[in-house]
Amino acid sequence: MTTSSTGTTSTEGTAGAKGDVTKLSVEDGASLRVAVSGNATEQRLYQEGIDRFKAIFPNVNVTMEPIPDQYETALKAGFSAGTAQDVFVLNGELMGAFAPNNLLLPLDDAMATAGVNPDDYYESLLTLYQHEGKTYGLPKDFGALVIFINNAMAQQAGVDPASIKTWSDLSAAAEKMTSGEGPGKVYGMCLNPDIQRYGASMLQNGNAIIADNKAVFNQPSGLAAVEFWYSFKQNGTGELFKEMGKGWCGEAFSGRNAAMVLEGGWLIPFLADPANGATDLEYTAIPIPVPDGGKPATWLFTNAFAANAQTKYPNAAAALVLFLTSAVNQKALIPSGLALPSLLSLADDPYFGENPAQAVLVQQGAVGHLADVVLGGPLKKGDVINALNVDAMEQIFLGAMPPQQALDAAAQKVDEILMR
Amino acid sequence: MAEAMTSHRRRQSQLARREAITAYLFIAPYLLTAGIFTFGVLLYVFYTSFTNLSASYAAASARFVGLDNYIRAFRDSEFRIALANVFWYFIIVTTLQTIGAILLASLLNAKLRGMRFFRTMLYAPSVASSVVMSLIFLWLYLRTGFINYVLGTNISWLQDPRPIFAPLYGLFGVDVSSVPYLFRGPSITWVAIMIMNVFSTIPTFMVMFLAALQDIPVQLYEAGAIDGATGWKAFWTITLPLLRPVISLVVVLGTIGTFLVFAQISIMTQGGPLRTTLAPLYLIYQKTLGTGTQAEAGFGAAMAFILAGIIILINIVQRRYIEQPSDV
Repeated sequence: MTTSSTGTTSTEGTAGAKGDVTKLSVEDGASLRVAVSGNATEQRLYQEGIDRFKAIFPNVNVTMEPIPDQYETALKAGFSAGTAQDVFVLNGELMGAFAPNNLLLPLDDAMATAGVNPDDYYESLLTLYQHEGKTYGLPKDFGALVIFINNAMAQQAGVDPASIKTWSDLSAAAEKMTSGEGPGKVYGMCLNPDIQRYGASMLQNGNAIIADNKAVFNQPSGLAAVEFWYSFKQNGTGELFKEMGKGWCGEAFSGRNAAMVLEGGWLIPFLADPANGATDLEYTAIPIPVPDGGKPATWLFTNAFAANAQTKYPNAAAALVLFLTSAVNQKALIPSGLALPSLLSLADDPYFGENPAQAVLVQQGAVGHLADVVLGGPLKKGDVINALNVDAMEQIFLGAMPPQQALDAAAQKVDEILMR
Repeated sequence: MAEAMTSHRRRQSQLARREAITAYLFIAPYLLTAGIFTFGVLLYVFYTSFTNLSASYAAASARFVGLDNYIRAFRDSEFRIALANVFWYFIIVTTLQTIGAILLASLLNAKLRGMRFFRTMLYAPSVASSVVMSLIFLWLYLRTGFINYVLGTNISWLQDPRPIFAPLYGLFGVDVSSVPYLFRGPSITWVAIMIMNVFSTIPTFMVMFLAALQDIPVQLYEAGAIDGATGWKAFWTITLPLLRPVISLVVVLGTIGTFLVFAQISIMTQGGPLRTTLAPLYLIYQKTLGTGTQAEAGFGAAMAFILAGIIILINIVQRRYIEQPSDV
């Protein structure tokens, strides 16, 4: 006995870009538990997606189980104890932990049945969730890093945000927008010595971080990227957010302590929240300026939905994963402005015509890279990032070691991690 | 006659046995929970330390690796840095909190009007949880915070990796970065966290000393006064020697507490800047469960047992040297 929608409404786009999730023979009376991370707003959006799914499959019972804190730990513990949910949000770390141990349900058959073309999704995102030729998760959205510029400060300093295209343009703009002295000083650029920020500039010089399972970020193209970002600190046109007494660069931006920040789309809802006192702050987003002879590149961040290999209702679980990542569900989420759609077809959505900053963000899907993929794979990523940040970036930006020396030391550490 | 004796004895032994069974029944709930959730877990973790168990995987995938984890721990530069950091933390915090608690307790032992009020006020800091304390000090220690405002300094207290012994080495023209990590001394940030911890732990130990002080018979002081021991002299020759058992207890508790420092680091610095506030327990947590790592539970367990060994060793030495004379 199967359940499917027989109403008059079209079910096109309820799987992938154009697929139809009702082609799956979902177990009648199936009951699914769904684990989601995130804050109250995100949980509300997840619940709305689940409600849309229930409208199509009224005979499937879906219970959402929010895990707002320590999500990875909770999910891993669930798998160890055999009590993990049927469907859950999957990130790179969990993918690396679960997929090689056959804990995830392969989605390829369900995708073929429902008519989901893997090419519907950005390749750079989907590749993270594929392991040994099988697809274990579908990206539900993505985020990207861009430069945000305070319009009022730019205008006052005579800077046209749209004209900032190269590294030297960015340096010049930061210098013009730096003003004042002492505690009230406004910096042109807020600095965050994190490889998941400035590594983007290494990527602009080709993959200059890790190549052939060896650290190469200490070579000239990687060094140039770090020296470029360190130059803001040296010239006094940029400062670390911690030195400004801020929790992150978004706070320095909303507090008007910095004219420019390298941040992701999450800055937009942060600025729109009246609690942060910057609802009147007008800003422009631009792609990260490119070095001479370089190419556009940035970091992407993504999460997927995936299903438990041990679920009692594999068809219903796969259907839910397919639906939550489908064009119909993702299109409904676009106006929230919280995340960008992982389907290429939705980049043309009219919403992006009306929201230029979001448009710049969504364009990054084509040129961005995932840290999980570039930094030694999802399992080693954490240790590689830790080594790069503590042994290189922090050393350099706190002035404890010259850039080349710090990068060499970190390269040795990263090589050890990659060989382990 | 003899028969009566044996039957009497038998009855007695039966009674004793029944009593023992009752006693064991009474402590059974505790024995059971402690057995499963303390000793059982301890044994499991001990076994884990000889495997390559990862918290990411199902437990079935763990393989026996012998002493590999222990050897790796001793070679691991992060673990060695963490041990050096916690060594300074233990030396400085235990010393300051013990001395501070004795002094405060002596002060509060004086018979003055309104002493109850002062006792309550001084005890207040240790009622707050270490998480709350950390959050308050996080703000106090900001570059634009209260502490810089009062001192007239401009230090990023929680972002300053400079070792405090650097100026000392500078006097002799030695570059501090050429000195082995342990001998560079704690960083400014680490010292800032130490100060916070001393501040919040003194009151608890102060109460212990206060109780011990009130147990010292007044006659001893009267007798001392006749022999000319008053004020400081009485403190050195009567009070301190009689406080020995409590000092020993406080130092042992303080040692265990300092070696297990965690919440402050997790909330305030996450081990930074430049790993100068990285403590063993935080490192173990990171390696075992931390986000974005390989979740090497076996390795973490090995480090935990090494840490436990170090604490036990130090405690044994401390008890031998502090407690001994008063045992006589």
